[in-house]
Amino acid sequence: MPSIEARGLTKRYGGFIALDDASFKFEGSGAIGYLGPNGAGKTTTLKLLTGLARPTAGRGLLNGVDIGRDPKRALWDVGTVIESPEPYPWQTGQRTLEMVAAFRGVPMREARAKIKELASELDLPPLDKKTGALSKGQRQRVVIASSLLSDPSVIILDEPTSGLDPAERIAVRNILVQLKREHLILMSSHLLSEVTEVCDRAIFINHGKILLNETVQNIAKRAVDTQVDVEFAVPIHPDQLGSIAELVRSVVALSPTKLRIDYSGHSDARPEILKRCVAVGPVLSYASATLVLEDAYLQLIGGGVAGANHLAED
Amino acid sequence: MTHSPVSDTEQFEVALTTQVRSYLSTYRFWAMLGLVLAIGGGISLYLAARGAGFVAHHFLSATDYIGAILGFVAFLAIVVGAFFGGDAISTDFGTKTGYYILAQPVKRSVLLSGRYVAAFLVSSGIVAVYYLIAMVGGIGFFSFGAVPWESFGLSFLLALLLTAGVLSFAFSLSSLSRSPAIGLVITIIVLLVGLSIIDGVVTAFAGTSSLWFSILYAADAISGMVTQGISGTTPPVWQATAISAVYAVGFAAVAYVLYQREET
Repeated sequence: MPSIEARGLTKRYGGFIALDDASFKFEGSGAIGYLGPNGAGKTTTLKLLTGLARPTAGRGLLNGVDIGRDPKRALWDVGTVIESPEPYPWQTGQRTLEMVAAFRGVPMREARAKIKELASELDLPPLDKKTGALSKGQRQRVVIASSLLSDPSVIILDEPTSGLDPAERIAVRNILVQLKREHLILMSSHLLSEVTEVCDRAIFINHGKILLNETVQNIAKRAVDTQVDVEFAVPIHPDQLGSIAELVRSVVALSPTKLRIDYSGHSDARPEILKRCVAVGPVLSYASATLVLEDAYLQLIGGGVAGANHLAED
Repeated sequence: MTHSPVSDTEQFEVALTTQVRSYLSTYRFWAMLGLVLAIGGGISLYLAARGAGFVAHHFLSATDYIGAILGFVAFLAIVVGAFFGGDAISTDFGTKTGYYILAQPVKRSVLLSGRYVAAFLVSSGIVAVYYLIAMVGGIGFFSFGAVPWESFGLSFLLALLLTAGVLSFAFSLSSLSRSPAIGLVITIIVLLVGLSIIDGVVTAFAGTSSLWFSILYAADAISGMVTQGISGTTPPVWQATAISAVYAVGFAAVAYVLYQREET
């Protein structure tokens, strides 16, 4: 059964603690989102788990094998994309992927078939081009393809869609959603919508400390959702919603047909607000104004400059 | 995943062939080969154009001719070693290539040894081309029997050992910088300028007999054993061999430790 485990992982650089006693264990299939602002310790954790850096204390285990003791065996069934890596710039995309296949014991015929499959799924750039001549997004897709080439049971991704355009991001997300059914994926991301779509579980980290490790479903239950967007089929003025005045704090028109309602936060208010909106006019959509993870992010990490920046990026 | 683990030997072959391909795709390889062909080939063509009388006038024998030609080998071995080893480690830690290659299930020792052997093969190949030119000239201008085969062969073997020593030294130095380009420049400066200065200072104060630590001193035996005979070189052949071997093994061990400890 695929597994990823951190046992008290700690990394210090002089007096600076980049990661402080991080512990978690995941087994089976699924996707875990690793969230936090820049410098929170996300990449450090992933580097320690994949042997790219050595922990000051603690251990990282992949599929039960200690990365510090036997990195080859620990990484054998693990695909990684850490820090937008760059393959050898003088190698073509095809050679890059074939080299990885050879290192990982994938028979060449099987590897070439898999490369063709991934080229189609990820819309890879022409593989006869040298990777040094590719754009950042094209190179990132080649790197993602190489992490999936040997069909590893564990996949560790550090901001995998960084540098990709929206269409490419969607393609990668779709692949991850498929993969998580039979693979264990740990991915860091700045994009909360991406984590919401792909992941079943989320870890929040800040200042090197893990703040929360919970299923997205449970985070949703806990989140204090205070805003809802309502889209009507016909133009509606905020004043027309006078009947819900006692339930809400404010109603703002986002467009002639779309209103944002800020309410008290009691979950039982939401169905009542919807009921009264329907009475005013035909409702096309009724959804939380913010993502569940955004609420949790803001509550745990704060809506300061860092938090706001990341939300803006999304 | 169903793929069975690959042995270290198989992964070594992948690392080796990848690195050889890497070197063959660089300008520095073709520039070094061009330099060797231009110098060795140019001298040979010039002498051939001037005729046998001119050659006989300037070189007393094939030994004299080959010894003169091989005078360039020490410099060549040091330059190729620096060129192909000077960025061996920094290339992984100064660029984001390390994030790619070091996250593969391959031991760092396997990656490093594949790189080292590749660098040795490519460097040796360039040195061998130069020896080939010297040999063809010796046979062409004199005769097959006139070539001092024993000292010529031993000189070639010492040149290869010296190249290995320079490569190990360069591999170690390449970990000092995070930039491959700067690592390369540092290695070349240390080998060609730094060590020459140290040798000069030590010689001035203590004489050449105190240069037991210097790979530049050892390099003098490469052409010396052809011109002065195997038993008449300074430094003695055994000492040049020992210095080169200690550099090759000792600094390879240093490079291994540094590469194991380095973090991305």
